[in-house]
Amino acid sequence: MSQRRLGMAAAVAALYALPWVLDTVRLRMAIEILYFGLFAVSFNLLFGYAGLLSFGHAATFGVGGYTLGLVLRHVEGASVPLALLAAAAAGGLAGLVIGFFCVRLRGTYFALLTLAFSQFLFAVALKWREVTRGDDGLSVSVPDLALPGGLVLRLGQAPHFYWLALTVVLLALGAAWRFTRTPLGNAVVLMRENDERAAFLGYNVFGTKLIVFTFAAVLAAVAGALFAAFQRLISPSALDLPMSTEVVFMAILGGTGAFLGPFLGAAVYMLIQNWLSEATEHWPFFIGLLFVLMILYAHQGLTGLLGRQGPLRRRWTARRLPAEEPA
Amino acid sequence: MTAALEVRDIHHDFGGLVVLQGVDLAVREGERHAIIGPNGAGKSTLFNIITGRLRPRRGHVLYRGRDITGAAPHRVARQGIGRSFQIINIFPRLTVFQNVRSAVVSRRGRRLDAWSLLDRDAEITRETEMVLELLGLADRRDTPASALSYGEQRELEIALTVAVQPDLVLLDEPTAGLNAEDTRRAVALIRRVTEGKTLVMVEHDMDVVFTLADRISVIHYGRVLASGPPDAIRTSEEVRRAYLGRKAGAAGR
Repeated sequence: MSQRRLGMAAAVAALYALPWVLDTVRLRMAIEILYFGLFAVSFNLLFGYAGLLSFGHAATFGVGGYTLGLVLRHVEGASVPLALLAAAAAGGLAGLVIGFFCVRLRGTYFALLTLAFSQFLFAVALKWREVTRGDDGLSVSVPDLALPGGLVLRLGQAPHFYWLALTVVLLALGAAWRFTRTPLGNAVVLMRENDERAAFLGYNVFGTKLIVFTFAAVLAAVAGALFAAFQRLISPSALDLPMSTEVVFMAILGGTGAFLGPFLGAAVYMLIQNWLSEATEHWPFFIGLLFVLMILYAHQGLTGLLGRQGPLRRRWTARRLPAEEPA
Repeated sequence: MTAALEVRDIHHDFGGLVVLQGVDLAVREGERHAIIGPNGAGKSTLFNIITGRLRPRRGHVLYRGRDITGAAPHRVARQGIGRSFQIINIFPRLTVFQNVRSAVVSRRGRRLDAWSLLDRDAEITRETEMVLELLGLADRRDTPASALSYGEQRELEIALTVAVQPDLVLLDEPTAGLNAEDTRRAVALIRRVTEGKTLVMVEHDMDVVFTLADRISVIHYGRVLASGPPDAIRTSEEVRRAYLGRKAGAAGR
């Protein structure tokens, strides 16, 4: 146990040390992986844990982004942490309202209604020009962040922004990880496995699904806020369908059966996309092809392939230790 | 004394197909009550109405004098009413332990606990293991529920039902599809785990019914044809004509 903690501490320290190792281009990629990773993990709380396939998860991502943008723009002296908290709160509120209508539905109808809500918010962001600047998007100016002890994070610089993003994402992931291991987190898994049986054991199906929907919305909003702060721009595309479907792909690519699977998926997706888009302008074609192949042959994702029970690992151990197979 | 469960004048239909037409039933505290009747008589529908899965067109369900008609399933469950299902209804991809533990968490009212770590909760683990022990599932603790044999899944179904420690247990055909050996085991199990509780069960196997029940109600064409102690039911000419036929004679040997 303590060895595991030591390993975790070492990993975290290594992550904080990345700015000394990576150049600015790669560090910017790492920042993108951080918030898309959080976005994908939040999506998977719904999909992998609660069994709710949302096609509108960008809705709360975008709400978080716009909230941060608006707070930094209009609230005198607002700091980035305050704007992040406001984004989380707005995302939670949006999640509560959207979830209230969606979580009564199942399967396809749930997916369609989440899609409808995200498209509705997309239309609002596009048309409510006075507030959102419509198609042009809202430019976001990010103030420096004064830390206790006289330190100042200059968030315009990639390393400083990276440290902020890493801290926020680690806290959010820690909260989500803890959540999955609590009795309430277990109740969420019952929703996926057999919500009817759970009801007859005394679980409030609607309430449990609404809680996880709202929680996932909060995390997605935090991810969206980091996205907006880093891009220095939030536009309707953050709420649009590609954003909702990309996160589905990230989660499935990495594997929905493991907590960090979607995070891995986001990382691999970003790297592949980056590499492919340099090699060919037809990169979406190859991403799509990869998605098709994953769904057909490896829908348990990378973590499913590499995990202890995964086919790759199993084949490997079977070859190495034939004596242990019968047991 | 008020009945543990009272069903008053329940009517129900499925789009024109009348299933229940005025069912009255009273189950006393501590009684083992069997509901029998031919297929399609409306037994499962009645169970679904009692446990909140269906809202009746007319009539009332009272639990310990309190009207629970049309209450949501989780509210009914929290009153202390546990049910099993005719078609196995478990959490297939969770282990036996995780299945039962989920019921134990609910019984302890810890459903909304978003802070403590479930795996480290010694009390919940101990109580779960006790239930597994009682049900004879301890050696299957870490087996995924879907990998259990059919008979074991039936036992898990009952384990989930009783792990919430209900005062009223409703079992819907608990021995359906079991062979003679497994049925004997199931009967012993049901007897053991419903000790001191009120039991209502739907059952087709007349041997099981006449061994377990202190009282039997016969449902026929959506009505209660007769209700009484096993001997009275066995000898009732009306019941014999409508349903039992030679089966009761065989059971009565």
